[in-house]
Amino acid sequence: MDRLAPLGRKLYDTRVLDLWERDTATLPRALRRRRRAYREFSRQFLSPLALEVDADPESYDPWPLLTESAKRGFQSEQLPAPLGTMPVMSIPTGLMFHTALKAEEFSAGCAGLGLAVMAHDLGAAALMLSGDLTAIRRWLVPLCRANRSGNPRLAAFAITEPGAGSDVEDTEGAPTARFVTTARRCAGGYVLNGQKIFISGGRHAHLVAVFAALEPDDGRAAHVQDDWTCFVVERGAPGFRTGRSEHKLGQRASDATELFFDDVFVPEENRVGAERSGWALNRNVLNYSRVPVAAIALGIAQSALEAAIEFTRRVRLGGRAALSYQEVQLAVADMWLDVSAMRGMVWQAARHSPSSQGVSSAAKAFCGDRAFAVANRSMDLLADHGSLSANRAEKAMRDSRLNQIYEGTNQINRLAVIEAFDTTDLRSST
Amino acid sequence: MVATDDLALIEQSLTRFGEHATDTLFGPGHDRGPDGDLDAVPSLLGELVSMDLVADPAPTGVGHDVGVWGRHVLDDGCRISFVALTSLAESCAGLASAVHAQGIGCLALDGWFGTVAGVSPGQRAVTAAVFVPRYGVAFDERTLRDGVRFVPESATSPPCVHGASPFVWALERPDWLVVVAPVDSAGVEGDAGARRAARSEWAIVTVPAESPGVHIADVGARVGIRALRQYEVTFDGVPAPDGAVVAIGERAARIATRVVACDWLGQSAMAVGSSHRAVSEARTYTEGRYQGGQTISGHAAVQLLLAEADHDVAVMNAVLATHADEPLGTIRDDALLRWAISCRLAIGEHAHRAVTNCVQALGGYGYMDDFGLSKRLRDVSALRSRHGSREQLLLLLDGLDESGAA
Repeated sequence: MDRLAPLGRKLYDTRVLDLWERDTATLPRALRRRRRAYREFSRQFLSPLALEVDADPESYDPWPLLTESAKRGFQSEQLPAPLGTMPVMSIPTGLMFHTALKAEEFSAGCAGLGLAVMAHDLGAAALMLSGDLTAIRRWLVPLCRANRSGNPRLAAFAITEPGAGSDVEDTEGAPTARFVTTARRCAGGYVLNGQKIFISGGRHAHLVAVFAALEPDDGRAAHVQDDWTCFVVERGAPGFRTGRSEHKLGQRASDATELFFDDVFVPEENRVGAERSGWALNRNVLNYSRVPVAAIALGIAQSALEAAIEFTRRVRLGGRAALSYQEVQLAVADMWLDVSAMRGMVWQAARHSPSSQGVSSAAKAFCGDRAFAVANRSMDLLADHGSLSANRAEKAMRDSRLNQIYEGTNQINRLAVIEAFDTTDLRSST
Repeated sequence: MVATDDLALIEQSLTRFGEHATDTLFGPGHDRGPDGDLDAVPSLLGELVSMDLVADPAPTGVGHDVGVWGRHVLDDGCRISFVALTSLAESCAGLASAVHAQGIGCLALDGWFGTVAGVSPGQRAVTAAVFVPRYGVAFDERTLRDGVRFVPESATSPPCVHGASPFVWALERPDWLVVVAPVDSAGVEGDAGARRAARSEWAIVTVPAESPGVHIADVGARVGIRALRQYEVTFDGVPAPDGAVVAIGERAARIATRVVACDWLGQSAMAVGSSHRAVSEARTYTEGRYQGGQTISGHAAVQLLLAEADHDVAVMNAVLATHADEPLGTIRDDALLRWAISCRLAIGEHAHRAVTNCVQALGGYGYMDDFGLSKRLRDVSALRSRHGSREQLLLLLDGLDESGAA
């Protein structure tokens, strides 16, 4: 570099920075600071617990972690200061980028613990994205206030039912979805009956944004698209109870819990948005949440890549570090390329504010698939060592597999991309 | 070549046993975790012993000849072992792996008639082959001094076994270990020594597991096939007297080739079984669940997943069948290794994809332990991780093409 003219030297970045720092340096200042804070938290509180909680999630008490996260302002970023902890400087870039960076860094430490902390963001998103100022004032502002003070109060998001998973996440399937959760009007409010399953954070949430089909007035059969309405159901409401938390392949530190509603009275003021606006709100939430879910996949892939690098630097083959061999370098480089491509896609999607279906779903599907591929490549590269839990590659494989399923399967997300393209004149850009 | 009637009989017996094993491990009323009722594994293995499917190191035992990887493979080929492992893996890949591990241990003995201290005549001994290097694959010149090795007698010390292998599979805690190791060629100059060891200088040595200097430790938590025991075994200069040496030199290299190849082939057979059952379970599920107004199986997205999984199983079956009916003793070393590596690579690509497609077809339920497919994914992932990365296998394959023999 010294042989270049001074101007030439200026055009080449010779700073001694690792790639994480280089990427971080490209972000606006508020996001840079936040990314560092997320990483510090992940390394200090999530990563050290990852293997222990994964092995025995039932015995794990998440409240100390949730309290620490709340104290650091990570549970109240839905609203800007002074109501919440989102930096005012970040308002132009929107909440999405913060949430995506948080999901990436937390999941690089432990996707299960990260999801346990971040499930609240999804529940809160339903309140925020409703645009219903009454609901925001009534529910979201107190949640943010409590969380800011280090007293975690959590929300969850409940759409999936035993007979309706992908159907309630897809325009094509919605008209024939076999849902069971219904609402009927009564004096002063509504009565909810039904069941939800696989609800992240459902075991500990103080309130749940529940989507139920409001019985039509004209006697016709209720439909998800026409009649879904969002209600806030608080823990302790008579008739509302949680069931079992599922035993999952991965992301085990986060619960996926059954919720039961048996003649649960919900007062009028607990409705979020207008009656029968639930389908639109659901789509809005999913378009928003699929970017952080893509970021979760990115974080897991990063952890799998780090596991491979750490291992191949440490293990010796013929007296040399395994990473010194060309075939190992090529495999690690492939993983690196995938992770870099994922990060580019997630960060680009996070810049779309407000979120859009095609962009969010594309990021979610791509990153879910690539994360699983990277994790498997990492396992394979470690060979027998890859199957040992202590080396973390197998955990990444198990964790990443969920990213091809939740928030709409990757098949559903691909169809969502096409649905979005149907309304886009692709030729207009040429 | 095995008679068709014999194979059909074996398949019938294994199908009945498989149903019973599935019920015992995963059925209602059993204390089951995600891996089934692991406490029931010893009794199931006992039943397989009584069916003569578990190889016996003692020449007097029926399993010595007809068990999985028993002596019959030299004359009959691998077909029966494949059928047994595939069928057992349909119920539980861990259970199948335990039977496989015992078979590979016995295969390494190559009909050796010696006795081992501490093992009574007629007592079925748990036998584990020790051949997987610390990292990399056997026959890769770079691994020869990294793992377990046989140190020949020198002026100052008697012959001994030295080194560690972190990945020894066994039915249960082994009674004896069959070390399949390169002869330490430290006295031979540099690369020439390494090449010599890679090609021919191997030794097969039996070591009682309780010998002084042998340390056996559990490897800890792992992703799958948990019904199988897996140990890290360390040999700290364990003496290897003449009576403990099964083979040395070219014959030992031949045995080592069989051991390594049949280990990969067995893994492949188990992956086929696990994948095949996964497809069957996914089809049953998708034909009984509704989405978008029709059964899940009616959607093109799901049809594509399951058709690809079917195709994957077919590819694996085809690769596995290549030399399945040829007596093992007649297959040239290079052809045997090439076949085994192709099968092992097929696990990485096809078995894993088949099972993960099945998981996807079930959506969220596929990810939950209750439906069993998550276990199958863990199992095929563990099988794929066994003994060598994709790159290491490909390099070994390339080396075979160049040299013509391992």
